[in-house]
Amino acid sequence: MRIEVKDLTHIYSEGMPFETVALQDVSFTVEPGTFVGLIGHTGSGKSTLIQHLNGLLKPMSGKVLADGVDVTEKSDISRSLRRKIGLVFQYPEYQLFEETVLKDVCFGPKNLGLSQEICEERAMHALRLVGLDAEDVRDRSPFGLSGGEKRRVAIAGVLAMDPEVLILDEPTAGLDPKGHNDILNMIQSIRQARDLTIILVSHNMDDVARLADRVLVMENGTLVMEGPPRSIFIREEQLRQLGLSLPSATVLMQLLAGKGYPVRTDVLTAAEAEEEIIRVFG
Amino acid sequence: MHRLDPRTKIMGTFVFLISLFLVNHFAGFGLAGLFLLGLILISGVPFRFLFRGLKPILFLIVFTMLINLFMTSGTPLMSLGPLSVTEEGLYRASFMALRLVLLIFGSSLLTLVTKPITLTDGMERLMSPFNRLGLPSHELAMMMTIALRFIPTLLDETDKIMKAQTARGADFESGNLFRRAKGLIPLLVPLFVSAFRIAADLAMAMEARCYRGGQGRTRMNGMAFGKNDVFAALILALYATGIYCLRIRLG
Repeated sequence: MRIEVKDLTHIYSEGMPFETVALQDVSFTVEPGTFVGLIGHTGSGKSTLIQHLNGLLKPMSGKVLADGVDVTEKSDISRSLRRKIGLVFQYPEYQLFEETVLKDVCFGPKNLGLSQEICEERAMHALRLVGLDAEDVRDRSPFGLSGGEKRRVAIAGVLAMDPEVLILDEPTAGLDPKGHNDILNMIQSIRQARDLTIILVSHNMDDVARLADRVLVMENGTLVMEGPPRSIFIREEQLRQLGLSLPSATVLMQLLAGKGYPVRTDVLTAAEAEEEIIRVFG
Repeated sequence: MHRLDPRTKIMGTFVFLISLFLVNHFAGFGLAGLFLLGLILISGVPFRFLFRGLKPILFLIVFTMLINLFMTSGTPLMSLGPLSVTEEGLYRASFMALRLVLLIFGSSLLTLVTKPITLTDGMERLMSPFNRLGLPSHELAMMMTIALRFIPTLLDETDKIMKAQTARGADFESGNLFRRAKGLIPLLVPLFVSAFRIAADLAMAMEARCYRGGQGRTRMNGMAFGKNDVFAALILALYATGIYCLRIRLG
């Protein structure tokens, strides 16, 4: 699914003393199958933006088009399109409510009007996709699981709706390093298994550099940079001004270059850094 | 007015509310209305804030008016089938409506010119004489403070969960009453879980700062009556006397 955002503007509590412009004339396009990293410091409008993408918030002006159809319309077509755009909020484990994991994951597909069998089938499949032992976990209470497991169940709840676009708002917030890596690896494997378009909101530049095909940078409700990670992460000065940092591999290479070693500084990941270090020092 | 001692303001509001029930003639409402108008002008609170407080109970006011209008027996003015409007009914209806509106304005003015925390502090101090009778005034005030403090937090939480469930296809708006009630489960269960989590965190944080109830607790900002409070009390006494005189003269 191709998502086009055109001149999107959103203002919170318009006309009140607390009026804030959350988004101002934001425009971009997400081609089918791309992995987009959305970065920007806290309060830059990322969360507001992604809530527009599946029609949870209505824009003051501008449009969000999914395959050419306005997602904010009330028609059946746009409703079914909205359902193809799965949104996983921050700390999604706080939305779990059912008695068993299976029932909770079934909540989404059930709302799509599917039969019990298909719901369960999809739920089991989604649980396996997020890397849980589906048979073991299906009849347990979601409240008895560990934090990382709860989060996987919540993500499975969105995956079970069979989205074409998956939007994740800081899916690794508050997890330990292992949980963090597990979730990211999971996202990558889901993407390969389902051929999904993914939009990842993150504060971790290493993750964005490693995973994303395109990077969007937000600041004060506007889109200030857009492009492949390599073209974004060489603009160090500008990123620093926005309160953002560089991937640690890039920082390492810059330090080496600063000491006079002839290394490339447009390196993004640990693997690339390794290659480059071996090339120069090996 | 914003900086008066909360105790003065609470007692003042109390006196004003009681005075509204003592009034038995329109002239009394005239005095009360003028008094309140003066206070509002001094406080600088825009009128639209006060009218906003009126909105939720507008239904109650209209309902009371209608009941009084049609149900009071007396000299009929006009009649419509079995319903008839009487002179006494018209009088009672407008009387009641005026009283309710003034009640609401008076009490909203208190909350508009006082910070919630100061308000509960003031209540705590006013209730403290009853401690000997076993009334846990500090605990009551603390409970009120916490409840007020967490209203926005819980509203935020509700909004977040609602959005998350909507993203999973939940529908909170359509269907009959039963379906709607059932539709609230995905909202209420996580909300309760969150509320308990927040409460546990708060309890932990309070204990970590050695909170152990009101016994022997001192305050950072003590309360003291000032010149302005004496002045306010004098005006209040004058007003109360005025209302009382009107009641006796006209009643």
